Amino acid sequence: MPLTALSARAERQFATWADFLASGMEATGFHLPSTDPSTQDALLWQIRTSVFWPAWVALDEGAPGSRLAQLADGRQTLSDAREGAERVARARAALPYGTDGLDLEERVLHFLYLRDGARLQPLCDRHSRLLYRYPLVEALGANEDQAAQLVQSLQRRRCLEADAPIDRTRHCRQCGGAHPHYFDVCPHCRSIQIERAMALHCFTCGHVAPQADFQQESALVCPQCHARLRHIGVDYDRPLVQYACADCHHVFIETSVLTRCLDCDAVAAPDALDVRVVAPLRLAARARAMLRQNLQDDLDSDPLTSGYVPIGQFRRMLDWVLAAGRSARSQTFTLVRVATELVDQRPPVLDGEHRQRIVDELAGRIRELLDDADLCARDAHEHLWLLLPRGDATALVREIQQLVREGSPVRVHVSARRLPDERRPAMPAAQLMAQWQPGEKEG
Amino acid sequence: MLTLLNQVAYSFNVLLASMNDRSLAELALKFFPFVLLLELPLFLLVCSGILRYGLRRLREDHQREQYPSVSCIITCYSEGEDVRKTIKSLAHQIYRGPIQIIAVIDGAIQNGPTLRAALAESDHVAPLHDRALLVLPKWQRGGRVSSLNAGLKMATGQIVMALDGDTSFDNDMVANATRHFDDPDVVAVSGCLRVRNANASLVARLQALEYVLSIGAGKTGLSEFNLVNNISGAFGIFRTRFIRLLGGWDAGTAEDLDITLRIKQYFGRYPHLRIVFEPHAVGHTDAPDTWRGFWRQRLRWDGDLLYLFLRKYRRNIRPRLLGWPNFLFTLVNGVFMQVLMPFVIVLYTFVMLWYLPLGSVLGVLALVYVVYWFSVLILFGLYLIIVSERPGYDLGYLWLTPLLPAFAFANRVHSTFSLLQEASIKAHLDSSMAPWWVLRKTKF
Repeated sequence: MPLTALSARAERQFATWADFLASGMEATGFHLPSTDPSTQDALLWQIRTSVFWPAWVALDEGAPGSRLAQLADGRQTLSDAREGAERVARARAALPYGTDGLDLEERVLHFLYLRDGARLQPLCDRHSRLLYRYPLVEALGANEDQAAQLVQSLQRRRCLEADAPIDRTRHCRQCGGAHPHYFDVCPHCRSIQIERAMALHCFTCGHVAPQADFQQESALVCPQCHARLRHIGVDYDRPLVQYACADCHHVFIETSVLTRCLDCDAVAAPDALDVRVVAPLRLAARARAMLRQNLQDDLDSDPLTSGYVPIGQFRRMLDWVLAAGRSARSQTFTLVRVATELVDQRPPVLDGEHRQRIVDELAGRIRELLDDADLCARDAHEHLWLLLPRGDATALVREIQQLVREGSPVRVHVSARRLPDERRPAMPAAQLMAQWQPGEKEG
Repeated sequence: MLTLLNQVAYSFNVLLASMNDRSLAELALKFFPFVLLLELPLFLLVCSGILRYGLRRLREDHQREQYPSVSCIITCYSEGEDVRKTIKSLAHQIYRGPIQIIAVIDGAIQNGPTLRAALAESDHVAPLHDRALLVLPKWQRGGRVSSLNAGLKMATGQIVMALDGDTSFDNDMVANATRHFDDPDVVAVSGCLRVRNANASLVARLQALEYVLSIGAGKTGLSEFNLVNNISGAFGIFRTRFIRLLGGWDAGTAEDLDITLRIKQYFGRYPHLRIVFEPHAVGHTDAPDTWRGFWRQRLRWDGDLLYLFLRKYRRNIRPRLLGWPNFLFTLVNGVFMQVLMPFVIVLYTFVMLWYLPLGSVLGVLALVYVVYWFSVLILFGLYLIIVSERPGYDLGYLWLTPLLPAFAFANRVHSTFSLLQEASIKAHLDSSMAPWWVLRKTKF
């Protein structure tokens, strides 16, 4: 029996996830009896990727360890699971806006908010480009890179804070991959053609040469002065230099170490790698307080993005503009979206940190072009939204495009739309932004 | 009696006052002070080194950079329960890095009590963070060198320490000893030995004072000029990589002076390499507490000097290998002062006794005595003020200083006997440090 669905009124057992979905039951929690690890993982993944993602999920006390066991809320008896499910249901009911229609970022934050002491647990995966991934974030609707970017962004905005670190990863500065390969080279010419050359130093004449040159049948004899070397320390010793380069013939005491990124082949010195701390992440007190008071907008404010209108507020203003446009058509506005894209990267997956810095810099420069009355906001996808109280933004769009020179690793896509727009059906701001279709002034 | 006293006074005064007379007798009298003069440069070298050490410490404001992993090889034989003190003192070091303790029990079959004592410590060390104890029983006795090399094979630390089973350590020993390895040129550090059983007898107490002056003060001074004469066998600290390059310790007796010389043989080619003495890395060891035991130990030590300087390494004491400073130092301090000088002193004392009236001889000896005592007081004072980590405790040795010149003279006389014995019957082949069949394998 793979799962027991729990709700305030009922408690039913289902053979498969499909059976449960077909039943139409409004479950607030699940209890999974012991089963084999792969079935367990599949079921956990199905629950967290479904609309039942906030539900309390408990594994049976004897459940096996599995890769995705962290998607569950722990190992519990059925009665404890019932309590857990009720707790989460109560917390959900207390939310004034519910948990439907939340975007990815909000789902992650609410997931942590609904259960005390919950953590985003990093999972080491040698096939992952970043070496660690956050399965829960991925289950809530992101691919591996989006999950990493989201986690980074939430940490940067101090919505999440790190627990005690569990590991440290080293990342290529070019592609961000965490698969450096270390190898020894000649410190002089950086050739990999080095070998250990056991050299000897004759005390009688001072001759230094590879040990093989001294070897004569079963004895060591100096090839220069023909002294018989019987006793190390008395007749001869080994010089400090114990390596030789076959390319440049340099001899040396210690090799240099370089790293090659297994993802993008970039070669670098070990100290030129970025070190990142891997740690479980918990909801910061600040974020918890904000969610409790439904102040979602404040979560977007952080020192780097201060001066921006919080995105939620921006949406409300846009709603007002759209409504105003419908009633009095005298005032026209322009909505502009600036999307950035990094190009010429191998592999094409973007390194979150790198991308963040470029977007920050670009956003700063764009804001310098704006007038006092222009509004500027930034969404979770790092798109920049501008709301201008005038009907024509051609000059501004051109100026923004000119910020990025030819050959730059960043490309901007600027698109604008005049509001109100009589030719298109009226829709709320959130929908307008989500289903963005630029007007005639696409850049 | 009165005549004798007059003679003493006369010769003493002559030596002090007349520097211009050319009479044969006075020249002869002056020969002894001439011997003293040879020791004067060495004395000044040590004193200036201590002063330099003091000045350097005033300025020192060095943030510790690294805490390398340390392997401590304890060579155990018949220490019995004492070995637990040694292991404990290492396991409870105040040191942030990892410490691996390797207790090598030589001849573990006949030394069952020592083996059991070491094993009993395992339970105490196991719960300690970053401390590991490995007890390595060598069933057949192979001597100290074989124990050290066996320990070196098992050592995982970046730094390896060669320690005696009857020596225990202050809890900051590892921290003080290893900080020098921040400097990549330092290949070895010599620790400071004190006598643990000083209160057992007069001879133990005299040795305690002698250790303070010759190790605590002497090596501190010499270390400033990279001239440390010997890395004590009971307490040597080495960079593991370097000691492996050397091929480990060499079979034979006096492995401590042996390895010191072999390290110094790199100084000619790599003059940047250094051996440092750390006066605040302190170990407490047992010294012989009977005169008989003491003389037996010195018989071995002095004999070893001749064996190493004049036999094994006689062709290697040259500037190209040792570098000029260490060549001159080894020649003067090692070969001349320690191997040849005892003969000169004994011979000359006999000649004086033969030719001069007893009173004059005593007069000369009185002057020598006064000069020695004075120099001991200067050295002792410098040590107390600048170097000592236990000045209050060391001050208790002050009353022994008048005895030290006589003690040193007796040592010198005995030395000639040891050296003669080594020269004639190769006494080093009869050392208690290793079984005879190991010592016979040495080629010298």
